Parts: sequence; C-alpha cells; structure tokens
Amino acid sequence: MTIEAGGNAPINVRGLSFSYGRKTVFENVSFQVPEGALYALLGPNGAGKTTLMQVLIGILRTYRGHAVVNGRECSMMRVQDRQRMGYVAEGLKLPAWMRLEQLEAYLAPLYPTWDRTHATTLRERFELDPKAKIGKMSRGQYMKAALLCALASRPKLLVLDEPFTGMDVGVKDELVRGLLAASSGEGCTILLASHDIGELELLADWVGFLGEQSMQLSESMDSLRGRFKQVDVVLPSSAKLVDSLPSTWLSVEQSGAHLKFVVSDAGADFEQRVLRPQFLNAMRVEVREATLKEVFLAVQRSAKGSAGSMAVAS
Amino acid sequence: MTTWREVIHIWRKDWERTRWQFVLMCVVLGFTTAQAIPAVNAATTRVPIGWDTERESGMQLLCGLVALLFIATVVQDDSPSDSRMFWRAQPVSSRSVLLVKLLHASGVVVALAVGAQMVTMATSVLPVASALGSLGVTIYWVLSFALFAMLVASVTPGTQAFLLAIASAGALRLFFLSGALDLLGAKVEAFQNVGLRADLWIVAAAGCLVWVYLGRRAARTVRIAVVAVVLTVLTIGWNSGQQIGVRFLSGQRQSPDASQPKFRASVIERDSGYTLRLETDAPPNGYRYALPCSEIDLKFADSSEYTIWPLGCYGSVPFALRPDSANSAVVSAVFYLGRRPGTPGRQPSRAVALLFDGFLELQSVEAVGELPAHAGAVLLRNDARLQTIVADSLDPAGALRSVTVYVLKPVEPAVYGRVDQGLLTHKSLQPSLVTSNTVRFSESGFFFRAIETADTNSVAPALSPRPIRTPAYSLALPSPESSRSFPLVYSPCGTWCPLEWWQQHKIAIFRWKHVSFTPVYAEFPVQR
Repeated sequence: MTIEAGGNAPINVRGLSFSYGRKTVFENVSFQVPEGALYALLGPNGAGKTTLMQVLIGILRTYRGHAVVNGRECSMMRVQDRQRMGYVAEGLKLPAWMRLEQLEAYLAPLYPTWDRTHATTLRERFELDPKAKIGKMSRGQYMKAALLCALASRPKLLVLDEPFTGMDVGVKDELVRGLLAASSGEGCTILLASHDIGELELLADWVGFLGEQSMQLSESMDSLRGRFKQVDVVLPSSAKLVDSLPSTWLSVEQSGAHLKFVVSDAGADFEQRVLRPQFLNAMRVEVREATLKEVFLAVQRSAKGSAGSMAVAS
Repeated sequence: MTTWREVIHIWRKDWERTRWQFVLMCVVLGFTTAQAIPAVNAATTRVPIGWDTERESGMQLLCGLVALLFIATVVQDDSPSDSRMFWRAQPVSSRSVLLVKLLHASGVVVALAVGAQMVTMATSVLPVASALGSLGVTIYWVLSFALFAMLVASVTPGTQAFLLAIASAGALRLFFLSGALDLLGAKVEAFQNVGLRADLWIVAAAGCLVWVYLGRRAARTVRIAVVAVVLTVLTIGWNSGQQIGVRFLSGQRQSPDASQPKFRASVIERDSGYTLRLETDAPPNGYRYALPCSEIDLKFADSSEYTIWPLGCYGSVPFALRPDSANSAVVSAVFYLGRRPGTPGRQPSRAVALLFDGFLELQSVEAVGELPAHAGAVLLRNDARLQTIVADSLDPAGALRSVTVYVLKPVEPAVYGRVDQGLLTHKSLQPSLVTSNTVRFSESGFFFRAIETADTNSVAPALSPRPIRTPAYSLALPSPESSRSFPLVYSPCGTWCPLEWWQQHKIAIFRWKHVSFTPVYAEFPVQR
C-alpha cells in the first residue's frame, strides 16, 4: 500500500521547536504523517521523541512553530479533539488504585466512540483480569491495560511511546497484529516510537529519525529501502582506500581488506555507475537493501558529524 | 458531555478514591470535637473556646495531618504539574479537573470543619450571633489552610515530597519569625502584620492554584519559579493572628442600647511624656461602658508606626468609662504615647494618627444598696448576700485613711469569655490584636463608689448622668471572696479624712450585667 503525505495529513508539523528553559530539545522540526500510516519515530535516548509526542497530544503547549493534529493547532486542542486520539507512553501514570474494570467504566463516558465489546475483546486477547488492580499489575500487564484504554475508543490517531516495554514476545506479536489491524482495517493513523527496530521494520509505512535536535529524515519505508543500500567490498590486500569518500556514504568501516558502508542516495544503477568505477580492483562488491537498524545506526553516526544531516536528508 | 456532567463524573472517581480517607477524617474530627466540647462549657477567661482550640492536643495534630493527606491524595491523583499523569492525555478539561479538586479537597475539609464547629457551638451557651460569627472564621481559616495545601500538592510529585514541602514551609516560617526578624527587622514584621492580610492571602493562593491548572502556556521553568515565589511569600506572609485558636466572635449584632459610640481623642502633655485621653458620649442612664484593654497603633507622619497598650491593663478589671458630664464620658485609662522632645527615645511627630482596634462592652447597672461609711456596716440582700464595710487605719486624731469593702458572695462562674489574639474580628475580617487579657471575668459583678449622704436618700442619683467625682471600684474579682479598699482619691481632705467627712458619705453598691460587645475600629487624627 502506498500512502502519500499531503496537506490534510492527520499530523502536520512545520518548523517546530521546543525548549525547557535554555535547553533546546529540538529545533525547526518538520514532517507529516499521512492518514492511515503507521509512522515509526526513531531516535537515540534524549532526542526528544517523548517531548514531541507530548506536544502532539496537547500536553506540552509552550512550543514555537506549528504542530497541527487533525486540523487543530496542538496548543489550542479541545476536549473534543482528544476524544479521537489515543495515547500510550512508557511512563504514563495510570490510576494505580483502580481496578481495570473501574478504569474502563470511568473512561467509557468520556469517549463517544468507546466500544465496550471491543474493550472486552482486547481484554481477553491481552489476558487481563478485569478485577486486577492497576497498581498490582506487572510491567507488561500495565502496558497492555494502557493500550486497551487507548484502543477501546477506536481512535483516529494513536500515539504510542515505547508501547512494547516489558512485553514478552507472544504479547508483542499480538499487539503488533492488533496495531496492523487498526491501521489498515480502521484507517487509524499511528505514530509509534520504539527502540525495538526489528519490530518497527515489519510495521512501519513511514519512518522519521529525530536526532541532534532536528529531524534527520522523514520518508516512506519504500523510499527509504530504495535509497539506503548496504555495501560490502573486499579489496586486494595492497589496495588503499581513497582519502575522501562521498558524504552520502555513511558509517564507513574498514577491517583489513574488508570495507563496509551504507549509501544514502543509491539509485537503480548505483552499482554500475558509482561503485564499479570506484573499486575497479575489488575482489568482491556486494550491494543489498539496508535494514532499518543499519539505516538507523548510519544516520545516527552521520548526524553526530557536521555534514551528517545534510547527507541523509530526503 | 457538558462541563457539569464532566465535573460530576470526575468527582465520582475522586470520591471512590478517597472515601475511606473521608471516613478517617470524620472519625478523627469527631474525637477532636468531643474533646473540645467540655472545654467550651468549662471555658475560663483566658482559654479560647471552640473546635480546633485544643492546640496542644495530639488529636489536633492528627486532624491536620489527615486533612493534609486527604488534600494531597485528591490533588496529586490528577496532578497538574506532571505531564505523565493519565488525565493529561484524556478528553477532560483542566477547568473541570480544577473545579472538582477545589470542591472535593477544599470543600470537604471546610465542610467538615464547619460541621465540627457547629456541633461545638450547639453544645455551648454562646449567643447565636457569636456562634454564627465563629463559623465565618472557621471557613476563613480552614479555607486558607486547604488552599495552601492544595497549592503545595499541585507542584509536588508525591506524598513524601508534599509533606517535606509542608515541613519546609513550617521551618521557613519559624526562621522568619525568629532569626530573620533580627536581620530584616521591622520590614518582615510589618509585612507579616499588614502586608498580606488573610483575605489577600486566600486570593493569592487561589489565584496561583488556578494558574497552575489553567496557565499551561507558560514555560515549565517560569511556572516553577512563580509557584516557588508565591509559596514563599504565602509562607512568610501568613497572618499569624488567624492561627490563634479562637473560633468564636463576639456578637457583631448591636443591641439598641449600644449604638456605636463616637470617640474623641486628645493628647495630654505631661512631664514624662504624652498620654491619650479618649472621650465618648455617655451611655444611656442605667448603663455604663467598659473598655477592655486594646491595642492602639500609632502612625506617625514619617510613616513609622508602633503599637502601645494601656498601662496597667494586664490582669486588671475592664476600664470603665465613667460619666464626667451629662454629654460625655472619659476613659480613665492612660495611654503612654512617647517621651517629650529632647529626651531619648522615639519622638512622635506632631501629626499622629491613632488606630483604635478593640471593643467596648455595654453593661447595665443596678443599684443594690448603700452603706454608711463606718466600721462594721453590713448590707445583706437576698440575691447578693453582700457586704461589710470595715473602717480601718484609724489615726489618733480620729481620721480614716480608707474603708475596705468585702464581698462575701462567691463570684458567679464565668459563662463565657476569653480573650486572646484574634478574638475579635472586624468588618474587614482583620482580627483585633487584643493581647492576652481578660475581657470578661463573669457575666456580672459588683462595683462601688462613694456618694454624698445629702444626695442619697436613695442611690438612684448615682446612676444619673450627673457628674460624680468619685471613681467606681470593681468588686467582681475572680476569687470567691474579695475585698477592695476605697482610697481617698477625690476627697478634699487629702490622705486622712475626719470622721465627719465619712459620715457625710455613703458607699453605694452597684451590680452590673453584661449587655453586649461592640467592636470598635476607629482611626482618627490627633492634634497636640
């Protein structure tokens, strides 16, 4: 499925900056999340992913620039706008004294679209005890309860900040399938931040990388896969590496005669047009699609260099 | 969902959360109230009465602690300062949450306190006006407490941090009351006394609380800084007069006979300094005024000010305003205003503004009887069971220095009456700072004065507004038996008077009864 970002995207961010006092979290961030997409937000710890999500959900309102969600500037978000959104975060503090069924009963009247049947289905799928107190739940159960609360209202936009934390493989798989169903079947737009890159690679339609206080890239997975290639070159033992490599070659590593790097602007004829002339004496040149993890690491390393963000910008 | 439905919905959740804490508060408050009731009925002159006046009690401390924890739970369950709180991502408005918290935290605590005070007042013999007035003070004080606690809870991340902040505020308060006063002197003191009156204090606390919930466009650092400053100011500026455990106001309602008197003030220059003389219209025939000790603030033209108290007031009977002429009465108390120019000490400028912050008691006066002023005279009455007069100090020439009047009847037990700081509250709800003193020893008492025999076929003339030159001496002392000598202050014969003078006079005995209190809050300039 191809999803295009346009002017009516559920999330439309332009020139967004946020600071805690004098400490800038991110600056001049722009990206769009197309309707129905599952957008993976990547970034190292402390990059500002949680802050960005809290801006988009309307919790933090002291930003500069524009953050428009479902057509509403986030600083002006109303109760009605929140009714079409779901939010789950790793550190979200659910009312620990409540039983799950109490929490459901409390939330149901707040959401016009709350689906009790769906809530029951999710509860059974997640194997949660309705009588269990939130505060007594394990970490995984806790996150599942939070997800249940976010999903039961069948939101148009779901913002998930590290939702897989503490979940075992089986439950994670269950959740991923649930998210995919929500995204594809119900037209729900999902913004998802996670350190579980392997999982995101299977899920995401779009991906954004937040690092070094700015958005390093934001594009569809199809585009990303076409653009980023992993290159392995085996050179003769006497060969020397050229002094200056193109800036779009990222994460360059040489171990003896073995050279590895990620190319961020590979075209269809990249191997014939660029690689072969560059490595005429190479014993072996191998090009394949870079995994999301390889892209992530390459972009992260590149972003730390001065020209990194320029080199990888889509 | 409409705002009110949303409010009720959130309130139900909060009620579910805190119902057991509510029950605990009721139990603790019940014990505290039960403890206070006997104290009310056995109130003595120096003991404040009403709920929340047993300050030394452990239950009192527990009561405050339970209320603090209740408030912290209600507020921090949906904390406005923590962006990770569940409610922040839910479709509920901050306005509704604030409303629920105000109603549930402050409302419940205030309502319980008012209930406890109503029960306490209902079991006492206080006048209705006084009992009702006490509720106003209760609401006022408890609301201050609750709002402050709510504000602290709204910016602290948990119960432990909350209690630590409250304890820190207490320590800060103590520091400014003791150590810092020496460093900063009158500035802090003046600020505490007048800088933040209780009503302004409540407005400041409530305003800041609203801003914490609704002013989310302000940067977090700005919010933290503003709240920290406000909390510090509120802590230092807490009007301690409100903390004194008086929950009972004297009646604001005036009886027809006790219309607000008009005071005239004049300053008299004497050798050692200046004294203040207060004049007011004479009370109706058969009544007299008593002026309990009150604080007087002096404000000088150079903006300095300080407080004086009537000399010799402590532990004494109330001063009587005695009629000196048909149209005025002059207070017999002397207020020392300062030293004369040229002598060391603070020099009052010529422009002096007097702020009189006290109250006047109206007493009805009944003539009980009269006694000839010679040794061994006895007067017995059914309801009084008085008195003997014993002439003493007879000198060889047959002159008497004084006579002594004995009261053999025990003084009636105090029905109510106590004075402490903050006892009286004026229209502005500013408590009068009547220092530890006695407003009323009992509901009634006796006094006597000398009257000339020629005028006294009966004692009735003594009650008329005609000038009477002899002062009145109270017999209503707190001991069961008391005596009072009649000194020769106004006699024409000096220290010793011949028996002939005494034979021309009688000792008139009067009984007075409390009628009403009239708060007096007056500011007037004095020219000298």
